[in-house]
Amino acid sequence: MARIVYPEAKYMKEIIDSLGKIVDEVAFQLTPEGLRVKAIDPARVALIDIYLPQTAFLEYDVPEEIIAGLSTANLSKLLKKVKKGDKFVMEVSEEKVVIVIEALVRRTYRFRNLEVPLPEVPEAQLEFNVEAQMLVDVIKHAIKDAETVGDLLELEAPDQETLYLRGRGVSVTETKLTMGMPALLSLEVKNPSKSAYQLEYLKHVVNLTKIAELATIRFSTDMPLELEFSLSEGRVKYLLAPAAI
Amino acid sequence: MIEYIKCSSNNECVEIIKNAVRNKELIIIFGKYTVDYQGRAASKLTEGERFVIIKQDGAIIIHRPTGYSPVNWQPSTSVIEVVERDDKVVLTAIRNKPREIVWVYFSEIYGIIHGKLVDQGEFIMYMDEHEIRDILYENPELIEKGLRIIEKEKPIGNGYADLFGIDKNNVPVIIEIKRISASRDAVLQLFNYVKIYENKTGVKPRGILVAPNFTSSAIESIHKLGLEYKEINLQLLWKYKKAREIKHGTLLEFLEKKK
Repeated sequence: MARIVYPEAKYMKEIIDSLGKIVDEVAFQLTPEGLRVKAIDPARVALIDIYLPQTAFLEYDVPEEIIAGLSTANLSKLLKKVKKGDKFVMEVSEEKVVIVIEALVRRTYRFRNLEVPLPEVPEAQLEFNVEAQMLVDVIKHAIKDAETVGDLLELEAPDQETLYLRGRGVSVTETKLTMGMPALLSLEVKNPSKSAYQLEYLKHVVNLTKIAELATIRFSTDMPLELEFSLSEGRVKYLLAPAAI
Repeated sequence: MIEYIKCSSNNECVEIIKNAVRNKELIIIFGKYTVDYQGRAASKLTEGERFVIIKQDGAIIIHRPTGYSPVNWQPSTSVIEVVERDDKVVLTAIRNKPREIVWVYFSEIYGIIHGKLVDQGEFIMYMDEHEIRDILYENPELIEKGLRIIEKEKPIGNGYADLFGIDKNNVPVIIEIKRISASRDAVLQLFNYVKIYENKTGVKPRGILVAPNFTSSAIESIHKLGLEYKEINLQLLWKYKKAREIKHGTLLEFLEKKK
């Protein structure tokens, strides 16, 4: 039996909404160190990897590893109306998972603990030629802009100083970031790189910009994109295969 | 080749099904049976006459004689076992992840159809209005030569015109798209946009209704109201859709390469 209490149910809502866009069922892996969720979409194009250390929780009582298998649609439904400051409680046993939303009232939901297999993904570390840390709003706006013109977001780092986020379609939208701009905190370019990613998949994580201040993007030419959202404690990584154009 | 067999004993039925499963054939078994399921939930179906379909990839579907949806199913199976037990033919289909088991207990088997089917055809599903709009936005020549599209989902009054552009004579064009047969309501909707635009700007735009076909009352109204229509070929649009689809490799290709 494990019990965890997360201080901000609204954060959990955004995370689960993103998960729900790529999988129907998800395995929450509770270990003594923290909560981990890994989910890969059925087409194997996108992977979400979430890690919240035990210090991110108000209460974290997980004596040994246990998995909570839940339907993302059910979770999204119950989290739909959570308000800022509501607490998210999860109690897990082999048989069932109890979710409690502690707000002005206490709402309890009991689910059967589904046998959701953990995704089999090779634990390989990809190497990236470009790493940039920026305010999340830059990514959010670049995705929204790109949607108005087409289906792709192209990232290009032509030199050590510049990063472009372009929407590509019938016309082009372009966000240019150069070192020194307040929105771009760091940029490291080992090799000039350019790669494009499908917006349909990027849209899945756009709501995570509501709960993070900073995001790090990592990519190389025609290689996957890693988008990392830093939470106050913990992080959400999103790995996305490049689009072949 | 597809064969229909009416087996004379349970033992013969077991052998036929076993062989067909081994050869990854499509199998349809008609009979009287009960079904038990255990997995993420549990269910029990009491005895009745119905049929089981085992597909070439191991998917199992159990249908009752009425209704379109199956009563039990297994999207994929790791093991399919067939044995004779207590005067019954017992089919066990096991799915490993998640662990789910379906047991079918046949008290009687009326007949078995089995054989290999080859199907390399493409499933063509026609598009929704947004997809049609996006293809026409990128390829306005499908509506008219010389047409330039400026905006999609242009707000006009309380609604949104699907496309807005300028024709070769620099006359504004408001385009409304319908995925299926366009009715008189669609014509009136377009006419409303045309009037609002004209009142607001003082310029009379052209209004074109785009659809795969039109009801006779729609065509009559189009003529009466001074609008135009353009019939689109959905199969042609489908080809455009296929061409603009973004191809993806999978993440596994990159991660496994790295490994």
